Amino acid sequence: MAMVELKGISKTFGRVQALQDVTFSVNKGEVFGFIGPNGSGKSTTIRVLLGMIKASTGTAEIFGQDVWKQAPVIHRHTAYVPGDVHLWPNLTGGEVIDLLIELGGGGDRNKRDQLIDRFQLDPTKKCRTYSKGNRQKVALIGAFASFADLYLFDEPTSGLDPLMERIFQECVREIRAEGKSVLLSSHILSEVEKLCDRVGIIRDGTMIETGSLSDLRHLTRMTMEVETKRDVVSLEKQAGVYDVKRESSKLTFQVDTEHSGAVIAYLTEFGIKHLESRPPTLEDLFLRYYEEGRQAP
Amino acid sequence: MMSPFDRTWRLTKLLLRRDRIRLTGWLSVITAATLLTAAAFPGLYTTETEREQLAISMINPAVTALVGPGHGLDDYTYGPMMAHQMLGLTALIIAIMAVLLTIRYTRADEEEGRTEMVRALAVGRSAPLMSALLVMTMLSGAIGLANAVGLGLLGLEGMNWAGSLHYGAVLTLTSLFFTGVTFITAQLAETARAASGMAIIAAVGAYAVRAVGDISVDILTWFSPFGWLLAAETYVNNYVWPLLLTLFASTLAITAGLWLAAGRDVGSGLLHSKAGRSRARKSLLSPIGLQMRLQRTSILVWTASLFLLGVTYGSVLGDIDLFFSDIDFMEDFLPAVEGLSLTDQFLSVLFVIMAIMASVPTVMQLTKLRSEEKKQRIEPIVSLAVSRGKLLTSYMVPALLTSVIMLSATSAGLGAAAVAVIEEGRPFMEYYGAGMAYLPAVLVMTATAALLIGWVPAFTSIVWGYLAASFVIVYMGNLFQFPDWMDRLTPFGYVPAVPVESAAILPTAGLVAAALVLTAGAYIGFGRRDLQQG
Repeated sequence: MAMVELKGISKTFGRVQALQDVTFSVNKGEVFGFIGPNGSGKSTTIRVLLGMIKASTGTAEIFGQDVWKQAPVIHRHTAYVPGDVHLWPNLTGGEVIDLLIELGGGGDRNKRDQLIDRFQLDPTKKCRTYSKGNRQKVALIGAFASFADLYLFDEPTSGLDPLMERIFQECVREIRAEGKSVLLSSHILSEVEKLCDRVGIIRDGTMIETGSLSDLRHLTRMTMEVETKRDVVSLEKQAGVYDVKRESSKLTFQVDTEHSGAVIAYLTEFGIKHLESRPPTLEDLFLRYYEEGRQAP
Repeated sequence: MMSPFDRTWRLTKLLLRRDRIRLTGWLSVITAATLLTAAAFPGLYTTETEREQLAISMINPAVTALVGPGHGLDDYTYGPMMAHQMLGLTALIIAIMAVLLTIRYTRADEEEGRTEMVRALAVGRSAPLMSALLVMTMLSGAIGLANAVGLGLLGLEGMNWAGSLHYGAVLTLTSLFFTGVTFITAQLAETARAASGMAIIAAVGAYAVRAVGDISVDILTWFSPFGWLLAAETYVNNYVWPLLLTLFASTLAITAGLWLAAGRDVGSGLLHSKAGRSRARKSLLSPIGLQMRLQRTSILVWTASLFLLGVTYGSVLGDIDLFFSDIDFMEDFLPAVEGLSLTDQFLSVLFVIMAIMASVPTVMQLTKLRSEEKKQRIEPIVSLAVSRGKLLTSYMVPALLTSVIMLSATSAGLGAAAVAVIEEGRPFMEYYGAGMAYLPAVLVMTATAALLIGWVPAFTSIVWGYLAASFVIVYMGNLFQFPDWMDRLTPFGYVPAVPVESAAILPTAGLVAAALVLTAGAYIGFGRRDLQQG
């Protein structure tokens, strides 16, 4: 069952087309990674989902309800953490956490206290005195302690130190284990790689790829490094081989996943001394899509 | 070995360069205000009789509380008049100036990390503080000198050089004293904000202590530097000992500040702010509760200020006929209406001014929604189970409350003072009712702000222009002889000017209806539009 369902969402601000035909869904119990460079439309998409801005065309639903018309009803069961949390300078962190939980439709008070401990936040300080990381913690604690079925995170770990990032990741795994769903927008790709079941890549307001990480890896190339007894001839002419680089006896190249078997068979003829193959990381994927975008007219 | 004061002069020049506009701004605004007021006196009160009448009207507790005790009232020439009407308030403003600037050069620099950067260089450890002291001393001296020379050169009746120099010295010493007080609070508080808060409370508190001392509990006057300085009888006796006393106290405060500073780490405070609540009270946990909490202090301060404004206006009512009968332009200002005393006519103008003043905090409740939107602080709320309508309501309800509180405060202040000073006047409720009659007009203004926020948020500030225009139209309309229809351009023009005119239901009902329609429009617009970032 889809918790989030976007179909053909477009959004224009004046003449600027911020989103174009964005379509994807987040299923129950899954962590969906939403990645893309800065300014690609991640936050705009999330703001549409939260009913803060109205989509120009298309339908967007959470729990099967229209995100614009039913916003307050939907929000009783969602939690949101933005990348840059702005709080009221003269309230304490503890007060803000309680406010977020209460106005969001209630939460677990014990969990609240545990989270404050885990994130090592001093809830008695005024928000004025908090650093960016601490403001982020306030919003995260408010979100994780609330009774939500869907969590929307927009670059939630910006400003957190690596230790706190790990606690965030633990928390996400815990809520997934409880069957909750997560939409995690991020450009920290290692984080997405660790947490997400599926990812969607957005660029210039358009979704360019959606699928599980292994699906995406199939669509792309792996890197191979090979040393042979005899010189390899006309490797470049083999189907699906790109970017061949020679360094004395060592060859480095990329190969489309579907052609890798044929290429290895071909290399065997030259007597393989050493062969290393590396699946593409999310970063490779991302950079490839991103660079294609830059080269496009 | 480097001395702790190394490079003080270099840093002083840096401060002077950095803030040359701000410093000259304070100097020229304060000097100009003094000199323009002094220069206006001979035009306002030409004859000795007028000045005598003025002196009589000035002897009442409200005026004494506001400006200080009058000296030389039996020979009320322009010198004593200046010292009576202007010196106290100018000194208060200078005290606040000293606080703001001193914090700016001490704790604010420290908080921004500038002090740390400077201290990391080859600069003595006391140099930043000493340079702040030098700059403040120069500014204090310059303000005193400019005012003294300016007044001396004006040379109005009763304004001799000795008195003018005395006048300037009072201003200089006030500035120095509060520089010293701020030096101390800057070491005590944990943040720049708290430090300036403490120092401003000290300044305003000292002024209030002086006021209470001057009105009733004599002894209190001696617990306030304002009390000492206003007892120096500038332009009358020019006593020197209060000046020396203040100089001594200032030196003491500055030394104490420097001493405390020597034992303090950069970025910390000697007093630790006590921990806040780790859990919210129930009353905070609703959109309206949140707004009431955020606006609490500002509502309190406005209520007190508007009450005092009412008291001030009310306390001059007793002598109004006397006060204004000889001023020529008053006839244009308030054309004589048959069968009405000048006091009553003046009253109707006062109520409009007070209603417009009461609109300021009320409209601010709404424009706050816009500034919160810009600061992205309504996003956390809207992302929760709070509809747009509920969010707008959480600003509308406090605004409605504020309008009632503000109009009540100012009308009650005026009513109470008027009942006290006018013999055989109207009952309190009549004044109160006349003030409250403007409630629908204030609400129309507030609803206008809401409508702008709902439909054209970028143009929200138009409402301030409208309020200012309303003020010009209703307050100065007669003076500039605006055509009557212009009155109809502002909601305040529709309110029957009780007690001059009799109360009428129709305009009141019309204004209420207009406020409701505008509010409905605001809800529709705010519910449909995109929230904006930044």
